[in-house]
Amino acid sequence: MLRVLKLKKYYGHIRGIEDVSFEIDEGVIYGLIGPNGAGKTTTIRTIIGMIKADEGEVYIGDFKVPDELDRIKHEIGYVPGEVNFYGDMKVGEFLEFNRRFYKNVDTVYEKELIETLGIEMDKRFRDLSHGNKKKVAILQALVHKPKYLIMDEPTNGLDPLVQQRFYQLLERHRKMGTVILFSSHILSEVERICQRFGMIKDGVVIKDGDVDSLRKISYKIVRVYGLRGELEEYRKSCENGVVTFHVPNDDMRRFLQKVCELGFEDIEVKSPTLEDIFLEYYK
Amino acid sequence: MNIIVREIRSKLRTFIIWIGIITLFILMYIPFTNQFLEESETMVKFLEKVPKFLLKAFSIDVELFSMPEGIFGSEGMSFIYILVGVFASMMAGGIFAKEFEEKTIEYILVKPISRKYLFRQKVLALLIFVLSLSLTFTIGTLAFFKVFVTVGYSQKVLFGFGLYVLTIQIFFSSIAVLLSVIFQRSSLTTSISLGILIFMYFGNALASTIEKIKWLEKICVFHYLPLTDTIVKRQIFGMNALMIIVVSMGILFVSQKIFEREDILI
Repeated sequence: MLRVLKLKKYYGHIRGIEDVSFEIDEGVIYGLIGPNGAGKTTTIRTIIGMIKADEGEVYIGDFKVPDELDRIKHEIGYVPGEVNFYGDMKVGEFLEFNRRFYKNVDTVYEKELIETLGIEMDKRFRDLSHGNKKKVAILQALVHKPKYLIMDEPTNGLDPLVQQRFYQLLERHRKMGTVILFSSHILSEVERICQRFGMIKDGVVIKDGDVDSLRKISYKIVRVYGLRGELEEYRKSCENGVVTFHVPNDDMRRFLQKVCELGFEDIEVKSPTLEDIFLEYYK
Repeated sequence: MNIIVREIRSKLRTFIIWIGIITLFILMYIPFTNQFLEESETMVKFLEKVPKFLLKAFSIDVELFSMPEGIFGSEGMSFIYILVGVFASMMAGGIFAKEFEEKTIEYILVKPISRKYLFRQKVLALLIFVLSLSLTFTIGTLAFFKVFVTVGYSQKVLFGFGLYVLTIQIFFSSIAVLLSVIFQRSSLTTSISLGILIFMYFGNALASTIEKIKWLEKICVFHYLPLTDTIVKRQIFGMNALMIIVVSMGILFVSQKIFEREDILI
């Protein structure tokens, strides 16, 4: 289990995080969701012991961070938000360097990861694109099959195909009983792969729970052109003949049926930004 | 071991370039020792007209020009002091501060090694470079003297130069390590440590000629490794070197404690 209790961290007078608490059980993917500057990276960097909290506690398994972190580090996999590995090393050399930190790395699994993620081994790290750097970061975090997997916006920069493969890898690790912390600013991603979520805003976890409850507060923005009729039960605004609805995700099917029954000229479905969701939540 | 190998591999090219610089620099002086000695009278006459301050600034003593070690050991060694100080500062900055600046510290700190272990491995890598450069310098100086100098000279003094080169490097690399863990930026670290090096070098030269700022030489590391006295008296200031190394180890210990506790703000 990973436990984060009432974490607080200020950088001088600047707020990092104010009050962050959550727990993640084995075999659970926890999505820490929040806009940029909300405190996701500060929370993660406190968990991995890079920075010390002003207040609060972190436990990875039975080990308190940062005092006992060294005793559990071999069980941790970490994907940083901004990937910076040794630019002068070729990817193959880097993986060999990384392997030496762990006992008995499963090289068959390493090869599988290389193929699944499509990693180019002969290039120097500094010559890789952002997405390819991210793939290497994912590989080095998963290769030793950690019990605790901590990832700061891991899909940022990955192409959709690799994203799908990455989600499948995560699911495999989840089934192995791994505790997975996954930060993101993309709501749909958290809805899709996580079992639990925490919403962080201005350094405070303002809501957490099962992903099912996240689906209740998340919605889509639907713009309907030339709607022939009225739909009173949905919140809407009207401008120049275009009706904009806010439709809860779990009610989308029913809404679309009704719109089809009434008839329309064109329709556009958009995901709201995370800020929109937070504003909605605060109303 | 993984960290040491990585550091040595990544800095090997820079190190080889520095070996070349130091070797060429020694070669600029030692092969001309015999010629200098033959024409030392002319040199002495010329030096008597040079302001005393300038002579002191470059550790030039008229008496030195009648001794083979003195020709290289005066001006040449003064530049060597600055060169190896720059090398040590840059190498230490490259090994420590660059890890922060290039943000690779985020990767390495999550690996199953403690901060203390990481720090010590990096210091070991740094010491390997420093020792290797000192050894190259000492062996090079001894070899070039043997090849090019036909009059009698003191090997003891040449070994002393080697010890001083090692001491200067250990001192300035420890300063650069301390600055690296405090500022976590290589450009700032290198600039400040080079500033300290230049300040100590010229501070010592000024303090030895201007009575009002005599106190300044007490805080300058070069004051404790005097080249002129070493050559003229044929005395190695080994205890001074040892004390400087002990102080440097103290600075490294403080740096380690800071590194173990501080936030990594990248």
